[in-house]
Amino acid sequence: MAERLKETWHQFIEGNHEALNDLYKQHYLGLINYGIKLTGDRQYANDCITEILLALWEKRSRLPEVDNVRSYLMSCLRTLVFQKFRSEKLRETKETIAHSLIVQEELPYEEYITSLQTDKIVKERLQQSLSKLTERQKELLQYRFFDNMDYDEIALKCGISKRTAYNIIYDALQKLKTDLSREGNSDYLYSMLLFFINFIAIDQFLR
Amino acid sequence: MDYSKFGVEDFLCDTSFLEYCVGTNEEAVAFWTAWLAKHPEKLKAANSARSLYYTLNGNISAESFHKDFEAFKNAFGGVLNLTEPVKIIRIRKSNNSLVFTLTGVAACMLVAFGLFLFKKNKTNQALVTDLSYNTPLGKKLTLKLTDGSVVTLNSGSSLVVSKDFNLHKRDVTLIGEGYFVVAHNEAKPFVVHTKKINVKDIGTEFNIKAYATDKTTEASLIKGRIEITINNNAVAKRLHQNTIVLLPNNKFIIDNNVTGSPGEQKTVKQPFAISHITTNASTNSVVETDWKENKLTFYDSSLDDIALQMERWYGVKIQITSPAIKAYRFTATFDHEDIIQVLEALKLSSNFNYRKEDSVIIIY
Repeated sequence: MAERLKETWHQFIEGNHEALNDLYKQHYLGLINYGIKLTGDRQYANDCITEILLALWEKRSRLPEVDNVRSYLMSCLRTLVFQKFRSEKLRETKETIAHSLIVQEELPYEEYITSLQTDKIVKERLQQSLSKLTERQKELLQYRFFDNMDYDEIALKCGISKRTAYNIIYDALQKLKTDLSREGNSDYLYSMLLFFINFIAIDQFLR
Repeated sequence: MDYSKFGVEDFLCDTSFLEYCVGTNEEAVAFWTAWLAKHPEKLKAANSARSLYYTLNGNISAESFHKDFEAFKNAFGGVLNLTEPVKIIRIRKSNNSLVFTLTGVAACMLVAFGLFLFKKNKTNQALVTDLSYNTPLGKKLTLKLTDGSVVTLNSGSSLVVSKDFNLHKRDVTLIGEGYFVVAHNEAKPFVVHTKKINVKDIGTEFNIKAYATDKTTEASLIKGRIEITINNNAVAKRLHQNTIVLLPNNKFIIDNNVTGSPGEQKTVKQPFAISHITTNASTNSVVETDWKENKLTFYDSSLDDIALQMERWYGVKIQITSPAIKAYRFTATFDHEDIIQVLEALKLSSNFNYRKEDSVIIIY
């Protein structure tokens, strides 16, 4: 995974058009979420990401090879957004965004994703379910799914092994799944179905 | 990997599944779409996994990704066309003359074009001038026109979309090669103009090859029906007909040197020909449109023609020193091979050598 990201970056520096699109796709999720967190506006965040990639593309021949492309792009995005906020003109026009910036920054991950839910029941259930998770679990869920880090990066950041990182996330997902699935009835049906399919598979195998 | 025992949490631990959910990796999308079609019993778990993923990733769905990606590509569209010339301008400092002057001019035009694009994005109104798309050598481009038709341009081609496109009619002008998938609209005929012929579509997929440097202009019909008009009154008159209707799986070939003037009539008996499109038996693909799948295909072509094709494909310059070698004929398909691999393969089956001098490949 990390190798793939590095290779795309390398191709980007070499001026490969495809790599430009790939770079966007590979880092979209991490960057857009970070951008939304900083600016409070998805479209505006996407404009900023585009602006950064455009600037990098223009000076691509002078760019270094980077080990962690994700965090490199993140820091570019942060710099750009802060630059924009500092500029006098934007401070006036984007006041609302700047305001939400402060609000967003204060929201922890679990509250942020809960606030995005529109369905009241889902919202409550999610809130309850997330509150049962440990801080570590929530932290790793954010790294993996919201920041779009891969397991290597998470392991490095938390000073744990990749396996441990994987297990923590897996356990958290299992808990969430059970809590969020309606009544657990559907799960029962689903395991029956699995059993039945296995049965057919074994049956076929025995023949 | 055995996905058939996957539960919600397993799906969510699989990176390619996540990429499929947001749509950021075409391979993953293709894989999981096909896989889920084959395993309907896993749809429920996969759907639960997907909605849990959207919850955890801050509500970033495939829909939001595609919208943002389109915006990104639009912003980059004009700039990408600039990249090649810009690179060359830098080399220009090292004192190279004609070619670079020309690319300089091209770059200026592209800058103007780029500015125009930005302006267009802002105003989003009817076009004030014709819109032109160009592909440099070695690059391809797929674009969607405002009427929904999709055009793929091969290397070294240009497509000009007339400013009143989609108002009453749909006129585009092509130099080079393009594959057209036309959105049918009887009220607004879609016409591709080339130097030699005009091709009018009647709801179709077709390929047109009209490079100025080629010996012939070709139109191959894959689906539907097209009407071809020859842009030369003398030839058309001699044929006693204005239009030729082509049926699927046929191709129309016209000699680029036919002028139709009385003096040349003797030398050219038949100004055009209609033949069946060529299907590659081993891969079951159509030779005329292989380029669209990134395959470089020669079908009983002379090395002379192949060199021309490779110059466009790889953006290199090729010189063949002897006429005998130029006449060698080859049939081959290459999938993603680089130019050296192609040359080596051709060399194996015949008797020539090549060397690289600066940016020119010399075959002898």
